[in-house]
Amino acid sequence: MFLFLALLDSPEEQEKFTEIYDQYRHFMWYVANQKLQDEHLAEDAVQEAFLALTRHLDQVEDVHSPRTRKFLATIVRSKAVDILRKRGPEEELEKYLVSEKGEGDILEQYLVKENYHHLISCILELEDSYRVIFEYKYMYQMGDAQIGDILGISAKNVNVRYFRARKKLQKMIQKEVGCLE
Amino acid sequence: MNKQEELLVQVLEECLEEDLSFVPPEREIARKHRFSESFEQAMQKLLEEISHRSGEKEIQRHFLPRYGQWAACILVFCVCGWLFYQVSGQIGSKDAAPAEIDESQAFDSAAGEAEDAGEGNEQAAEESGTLQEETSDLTTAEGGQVYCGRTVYPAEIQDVPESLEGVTTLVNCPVLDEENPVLMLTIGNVGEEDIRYLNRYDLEVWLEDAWYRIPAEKETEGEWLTLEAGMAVDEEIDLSKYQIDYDASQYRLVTYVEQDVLGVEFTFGEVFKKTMEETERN
Repeated sequence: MFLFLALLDSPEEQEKFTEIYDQYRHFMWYVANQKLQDEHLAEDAVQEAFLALTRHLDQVEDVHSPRTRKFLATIVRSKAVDILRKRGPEEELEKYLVSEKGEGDILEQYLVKENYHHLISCILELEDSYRVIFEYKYMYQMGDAQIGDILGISAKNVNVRYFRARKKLQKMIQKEVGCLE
Repeated sequence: MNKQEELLVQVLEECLEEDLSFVPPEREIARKHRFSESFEQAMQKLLEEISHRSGEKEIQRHFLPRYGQWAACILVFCVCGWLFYQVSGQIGSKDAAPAEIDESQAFDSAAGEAEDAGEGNEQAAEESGTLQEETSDLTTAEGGQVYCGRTVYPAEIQDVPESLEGVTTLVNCPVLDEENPVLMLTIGNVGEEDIRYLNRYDLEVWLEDAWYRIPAEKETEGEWLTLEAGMAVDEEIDLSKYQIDYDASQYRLVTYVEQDVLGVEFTFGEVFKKTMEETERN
């Protein structure tokens, strides 16, 4: 725990952290509980999320901004996913293996304005374990090492998961667009 | 970031916004869910550690040799010199201290004697019976009283309000059933700012002339928790865990909020009934 806290090295950051805790802890619990459907596990997810936050507080500029709210939601969701993964690792592994099969990465071709609504429905359906990777990478512009630090995995594994997420999304869009065509 | 990535960001943002639009306001969630004690303890510990580490880091930052060895040497030299100056100054002041203490003690003693003399003159005018009664009451209040087979001592603070500006306490049942001595203590933050409260309470009983604190079976220090503005916290209290006399006239639960002490009174059904009957007779 001391290792995590060592990065909060100014009274301003400490104050910011306390403010986030006071303002968002119930919100974060609710988000976690939606995924986990277990009050106590949701509390564990919140606790883990706050620990992770101590190392990435630089991502929070304004405590009260919508961006901060979203960032906290992403962290706590990824922690909830982690808890679920620990409870059923075999199932999760199977998911990854299934998603690995298929064709090359042509996701970029589908990322066009015409497919905007298809993309929305696909992202909403995409598993959280993949979605949070996209959120960290694109919304918060975080590198693999930073994401790995939050998720407790290596940067290499983040990269592997990212490409699996891309393939999965690509497959979903192909299916969605194909159905309508 | 290229156009495709920008589009993906837009999609991700919209999806997240849609998901979060179903989340009720913080206060509403807080009303429905109360964090477990283990969670509160762990987070409290984390916040305390942060505070502690932050202080240490500040000190470390000042002493890091980032400004070069010379700067560090000069700093150490200055600090040592300042410390030496302070220590030698303290030793000097300690030598002078006893004389000052003697003087202040003499002043206090003289003032006390003058006050006593004044009170003595006033009391002399009163009847001797009243005087004895008052002396007896004072002795009881200062010493302990035997209650339920053990000695209880007067509460440090006798006059305790039920509510203050911004915070109030209440019990769900001011007249309690002896067969089901469970009540709910509520602390309400009616102000506009968050407050800190101690998640421990004291049970006190009114005996003859003063409030006496009933020791808990398991004394705990309690923890300071935050109560958000406009929120209330409920604490279920099972009095069957205490050794208490259901015939005592009045009880109160004392809580600690910020720097203040608040108390809320309650009684038991039989005692209340007797009191009402007496009132009707009079």
